[in-house]
Amino acid sequence: MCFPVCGMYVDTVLLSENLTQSCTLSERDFAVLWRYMEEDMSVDAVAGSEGGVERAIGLALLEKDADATAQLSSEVENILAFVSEVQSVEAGEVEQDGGAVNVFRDDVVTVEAEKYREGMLAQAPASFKRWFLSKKIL
Amino acid sequence: MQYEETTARDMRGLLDTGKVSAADLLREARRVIAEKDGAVKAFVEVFASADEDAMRADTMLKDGQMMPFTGIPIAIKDNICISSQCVTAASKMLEGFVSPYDATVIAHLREQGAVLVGRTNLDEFAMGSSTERSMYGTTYNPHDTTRVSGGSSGGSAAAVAMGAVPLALGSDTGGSIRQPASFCGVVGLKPTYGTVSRHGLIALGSSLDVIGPLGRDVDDVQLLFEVLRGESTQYDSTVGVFAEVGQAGVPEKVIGVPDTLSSVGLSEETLRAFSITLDRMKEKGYIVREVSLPIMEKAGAIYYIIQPAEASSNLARFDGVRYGHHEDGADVWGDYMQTRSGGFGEEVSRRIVVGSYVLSAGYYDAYYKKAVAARRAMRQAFLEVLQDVSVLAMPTTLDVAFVEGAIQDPIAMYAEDRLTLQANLTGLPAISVPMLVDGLPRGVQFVGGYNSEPVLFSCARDVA
Repeated sequence: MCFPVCGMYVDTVLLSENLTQSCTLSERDFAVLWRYMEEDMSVDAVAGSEGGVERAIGLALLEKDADATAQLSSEVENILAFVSEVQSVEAGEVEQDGGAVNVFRDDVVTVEAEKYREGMLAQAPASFKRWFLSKKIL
Repeated sequence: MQYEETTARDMRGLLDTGKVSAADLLREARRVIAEKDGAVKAFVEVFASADEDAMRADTMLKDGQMMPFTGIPIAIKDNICISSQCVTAASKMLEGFVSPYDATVIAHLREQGAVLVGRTNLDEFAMGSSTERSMYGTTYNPHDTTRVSGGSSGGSAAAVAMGAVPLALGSDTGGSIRQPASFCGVVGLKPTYGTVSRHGLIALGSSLDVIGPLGRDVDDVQLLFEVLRGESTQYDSTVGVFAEVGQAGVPEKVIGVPDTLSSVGLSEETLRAFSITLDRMKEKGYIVREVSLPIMEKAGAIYYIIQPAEASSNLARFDGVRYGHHEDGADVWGDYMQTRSGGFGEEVSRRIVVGSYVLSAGYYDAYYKKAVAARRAMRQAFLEVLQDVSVLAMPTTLDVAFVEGAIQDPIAMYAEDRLTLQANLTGLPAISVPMLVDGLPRGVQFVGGYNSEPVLFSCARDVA
């Protein structure tokens, strides 16, 4: 079964030297990919289906033991109670405007990525040629 | 010359007349650091490369290429990138990371021939109000080393207050320049959002972050601001066209004092100092008027939704793959989770969880969308009031610097920024300048219209 490699995390993942090529997936890997796509390619699948703060801990890609989770959940719930005061602000009639933005800037990317490539790769935990290396995703 | 008390302008005069060299000033800066920083812990690194900066500055001086900051020692907050130097944001997540490029503000300082003395401590990723939450440990207040220096630019404020440098760079997302400036008795400016390039600043809240100067006096801070400001060609949000100072029709020398100040929890001593300061301003021809700004009190609720939301997004890049801290898990998700759980400190973890929560499906409308609308309402309320007064005035902090460890509860710590968050939420400029009262330092803060920094400098000068 052939399936095109999506752009997902393509900058951080070494799949092959030619990332635009199709690759062959096993039936099992295809099922994993399909499930991931069905779930809007979000990290919700990783976060689990619990509600509230525990789910948010998963969405933040943090892993805590039971005690630390309980402590963090309690603190975050207190913060959420604190910020819920925002509901009392009467803001319905306020129109959105641009604020202090530069509307005259050319829409071009001026960062010279190539200039810093070597320095950045040298500091990566793992790299290969001109890519960052991570564990296999699929 | 008493180095610890000399302003950058006076140093300029001494350098230009050949009475001292840039190398002499650097030697003095290192002497003060050696004498005092053991107790204060403002610096996380003193740069060996500063010798090269000083040599270059002395060559520029010899060649007659004097600029305002040629040879002047300046300290840099450790979340601003300096090429070939470590930049960590005081986080284990970035321990040992070497910046491949200069932030735009650093490039401006290099053009001037400034001497970059070292990098200064901060709360991890600039999330905090005390510089206690740093992987390097606490930075103490030079006026009383049992107390904190404030935060998150506590290292920069303490470096100036202990006399190591006449000026330092900090960043301000919710008060991180003004609050430590107030605690340490120095001047701190949070410029209008967009007037100083954020390129090379490790992002916390992109719609709130501003780089700004801290210094021994108002004139020095103004001089440095003039060098830092300007459009950046890099990919960020600098404002390309600077409006004329102030707004047409805005009265001069009219100070607005928000009527909500009586209920925000100011200490009696701070209220008294503020009242004395206003009386002195009246003697100098200012009119002081009470203004109604009830939305000011909602700043904490608005800010602690928007800032964590932006922080959770900005800090998503720290995954242990591209740079910084890495911990091995069973698979790639394990790598991400273990790296982030091991690399981020408690406060950073709290905020990115809050940010993830308020942005998540089911809660987005109730929290984030509502906070964005409330932020717009706050901006509109401030702009309306600033039609009738030239500046708003209020104490920068509720009280003086607190004793290390005195505030453990996160929400109690958030209250430390109660009077500074509004300028970040609205994008307005604000300056903190020490009030002339006995005892530990307390700052008064002036908030003005967009691009009204010259008005703020003028008011701040009149406090002295």
